Amino acid sequence: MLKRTLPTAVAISTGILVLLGSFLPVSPLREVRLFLIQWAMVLGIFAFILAFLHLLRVHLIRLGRRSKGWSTSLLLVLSAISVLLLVSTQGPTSQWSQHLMNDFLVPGESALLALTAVTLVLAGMRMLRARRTSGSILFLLIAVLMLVGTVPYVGILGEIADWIQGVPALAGMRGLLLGVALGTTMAGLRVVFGATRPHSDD
Amino acid sequence: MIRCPKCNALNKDGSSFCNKCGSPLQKTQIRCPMCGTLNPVGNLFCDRCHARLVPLEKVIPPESTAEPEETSASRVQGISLPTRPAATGEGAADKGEESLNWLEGLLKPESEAETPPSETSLPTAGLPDWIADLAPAEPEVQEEAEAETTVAPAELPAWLSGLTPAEPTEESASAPAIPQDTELPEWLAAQGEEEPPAALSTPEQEAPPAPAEMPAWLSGLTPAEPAEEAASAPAISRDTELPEWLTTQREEEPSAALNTPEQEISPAPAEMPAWLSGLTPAEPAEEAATSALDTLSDESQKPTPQEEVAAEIPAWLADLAPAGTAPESKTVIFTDEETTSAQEIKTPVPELETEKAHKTPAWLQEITPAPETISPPPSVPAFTLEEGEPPAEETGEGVVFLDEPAELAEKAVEIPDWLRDLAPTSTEEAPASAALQQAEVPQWLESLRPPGTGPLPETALPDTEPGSIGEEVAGGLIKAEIPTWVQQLRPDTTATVAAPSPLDEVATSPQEEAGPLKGLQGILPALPVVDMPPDFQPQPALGASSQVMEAAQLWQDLLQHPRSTKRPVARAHARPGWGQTVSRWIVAVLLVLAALAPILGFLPETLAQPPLQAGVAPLQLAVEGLQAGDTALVALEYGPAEANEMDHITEALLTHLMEHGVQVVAVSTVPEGVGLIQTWLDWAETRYQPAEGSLVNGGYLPGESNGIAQFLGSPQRTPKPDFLLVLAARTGPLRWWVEQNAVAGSRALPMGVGLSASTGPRMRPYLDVYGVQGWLIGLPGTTAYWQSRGIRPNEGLARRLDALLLTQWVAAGLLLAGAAYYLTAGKKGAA
Repeated sequence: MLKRTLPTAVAISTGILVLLGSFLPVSPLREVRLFLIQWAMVLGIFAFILAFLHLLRVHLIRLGRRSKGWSTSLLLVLSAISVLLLVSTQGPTSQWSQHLMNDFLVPGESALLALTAVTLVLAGMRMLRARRTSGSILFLLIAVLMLVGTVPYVGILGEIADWIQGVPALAGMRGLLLGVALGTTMAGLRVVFGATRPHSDD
Repeated sequence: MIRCPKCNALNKDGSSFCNKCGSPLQKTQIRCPMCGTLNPVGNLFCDRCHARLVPLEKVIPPESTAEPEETSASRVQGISLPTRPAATGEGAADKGEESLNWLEGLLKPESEAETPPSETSLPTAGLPDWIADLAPAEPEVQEEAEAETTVAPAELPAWLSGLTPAEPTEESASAPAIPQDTELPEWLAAQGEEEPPAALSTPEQEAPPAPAEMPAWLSGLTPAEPAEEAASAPAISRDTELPEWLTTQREEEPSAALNTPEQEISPAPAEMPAWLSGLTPAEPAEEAATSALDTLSDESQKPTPQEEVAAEIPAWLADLAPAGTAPESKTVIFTDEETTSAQEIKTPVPELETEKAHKTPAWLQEITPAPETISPPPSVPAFTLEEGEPPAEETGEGVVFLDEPAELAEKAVEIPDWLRDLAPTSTEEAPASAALQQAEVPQWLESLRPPGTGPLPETALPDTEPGSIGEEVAGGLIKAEIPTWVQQLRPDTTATVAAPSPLDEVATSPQEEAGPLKGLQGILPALPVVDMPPDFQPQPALGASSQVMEAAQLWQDLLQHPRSTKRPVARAHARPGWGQTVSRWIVAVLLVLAALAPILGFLPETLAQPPLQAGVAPLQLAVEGLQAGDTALVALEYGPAEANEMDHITEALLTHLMEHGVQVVAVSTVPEGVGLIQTWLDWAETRYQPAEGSLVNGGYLPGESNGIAQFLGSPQRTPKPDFLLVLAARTGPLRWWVEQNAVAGSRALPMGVGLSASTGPRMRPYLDVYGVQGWLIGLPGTTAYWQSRGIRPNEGLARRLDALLLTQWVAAGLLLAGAAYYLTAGKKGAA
């Protein structure tokens, strides 16, 4: 019973205290809120460390068993350990850290984004092959207008693209963001009231 | 599942047509109209709710309609016997279904005890004419009844289907003609040809059987004297209640057959069919014949220790009132029964619907015989005698009863009204007292003997020499004369038996050797699926095709072989066709050329003419309004992947801040942003050489929105900023900064936002929030910001903008080309 009720009790009490500290910035509640938030940040950092260690463990196991793709796992483990050691000893702003980032991370991630652009164009070309609906045709039309209007060669195309972004796209995004905010609020309240217990075995 | 005989496809149960080829399917199941349960085709009644599945008219075979004399007024209805439908034609008689073996005692002695027809073979509806003729009526009516030879009630057991009306004439020995074309069992069909005297002449020759089941009213039957008299009245046990129609048969028998039954035949069949199990004592009647029936079923009478329990009297006989004797009445041979009350009769009736055992069958209930048609039995059965009344004289064909008037008098026999009406109005004396005699139990009756009982001692058996009816023979039994109509019920042993079907093989199972059914054979045929014996090999209705057999053999081989430990290899993905590969290469080459051409300087001039964005001017004014020494909090919320785009935005804004002498405090909520912060601070320090402490690396800000709120709410850590500049390529960090800054209310910082081209359209709603002074999006916004300051953007930025323009135009062209192709190509293109 303690295994099921204790996490729920901690989650509910912590959530209520933080909410009260936000709505009632009185002296004890404000300090409690800041204290609990600091504890949450520390726990988040430790969760990041645990995720890193788990990643290393998985690839080390694959490396030990010589499973398929063990060479990639070897490269990942070596790079992770070397960067960890380098940044831990030299600091995140040292020359070696900057060199690693500017000469390895930036080109690599840029290349991946470039491939994404090719893939998206190909998918857009075949979209009518899979679905021939009015929605698909409208999607393609808007995409073409935005592509040619973002950096317009003709002035009117820029105005059209700007209108699309400022009116219909903006309205849609606002609706989506409102829905996300409401859902997030409800999810948090469910955790505070104990209706949802992601932290326990229930 | 139903397998189609044509295409061998499987169809759902209850399907009428094959789903694959459309051919009609054989009905394998019948759905009950009441409860919806699926029942086998052979069922007449639902297995669940016992509702009728097959309409009554469907059960009637067509031959029954060929008989015009077949009574329409007295159709036998209401007997709900189990489930096997009546077979048509001679096969019905030749099915070998067991009927009540106890009736075999009514047959000729020398005739083999053939299995009488089963009760499950339901004959056609309609009363037997002999029943219709039994009404207490004039002889001429009985003569008419004699002409009716065949009746095929819908639900009568097979052995009753051949029952014919009594011969109304004084040829008592003549058996009623049984038409050959009716559904009669063999042993019934031959009755019409047999001579009753001959049948009666050799009862003593037949070894008395040991019936496992014998109703009380049959227990006292003895073979009739074949000689001068008509069929003598059979010895009827006082324990059984003779129906009136039986008592009327004694007109053919001398009443001498109804001697006082001094000896009682011990065999008491343990089991009686359901339709006989409900026999109750008949009420006393005015006539001796009826009175003989009336007093039979005295419930208070207890069986003597020596007496065996008789079979249960069926309900339809229980209500029968003894009718008056009639000269034309047929004699009935009954074996002597010990018990008299229906309750004391403990003969179990296997496989019969016991719930109907005590009901008068509808076909009997509907009998409304004219009073003239009923002829009283020639002899008064002992069980119908009044108290102290001596047994009636035997007047010919009649019933021989046990001569225990005292015992009989205690019984209360209930005779239904319709039989009471059949009582003969004639003042003819009831036959002589029911002198139950030791009847010669035929073999088929002997097989019905209940467990624990033995065959009759030979001393109790009648003499081989046929004595006169009523004459006492050895063992204290009185010889009785088998009436002709009963002799006609004898199975015809000379008839050819059809080739036994699988049902026959199943039905003729050996006798049970243990348990409550010991000594009994199966009365009802075993259903081919449910009751088939262990060694029974049913033949499939549909032969399996060779393909099915091969598949079945393959399955069997696969299952028999041990399971392979080798894991199945995943199938490799299908390689794309050459068309897809070429199209991919074409698209990639075009995009790369469009991107590289401006950057490599292949374009003579700048093509891009970026529009002025709405937020560029306010942002420029907001930064322009900062004074030297003010502090700007710069949040670098992008990573190395977005650096190529965001670096231009950061350069433009950071240059503007540095040119105004603003102190910069850089923070980042993105882990990889710490390195970028340092890079830019080094750039700024190298280029502008600000005062010491003008560039502060705030480092990583954990906690996302909480961290931002904490950072903004604790001014002790940093000097209070005068401007907040968020440079984001991700939606989350921008949202956090905007929200936490707006929450501060009056203490909210003036805010400037620089977004990537992918983030800008998604975060436009946050750009109109209180506190955001200005914004710019992507490379076009950056170019516009430089132009708003009056500074020509650098050549690298211009080339990148041209590359962006060409790439986007090529991508748009490719999208339109693909859409046009697949729209015009149709299904062929889609395939």
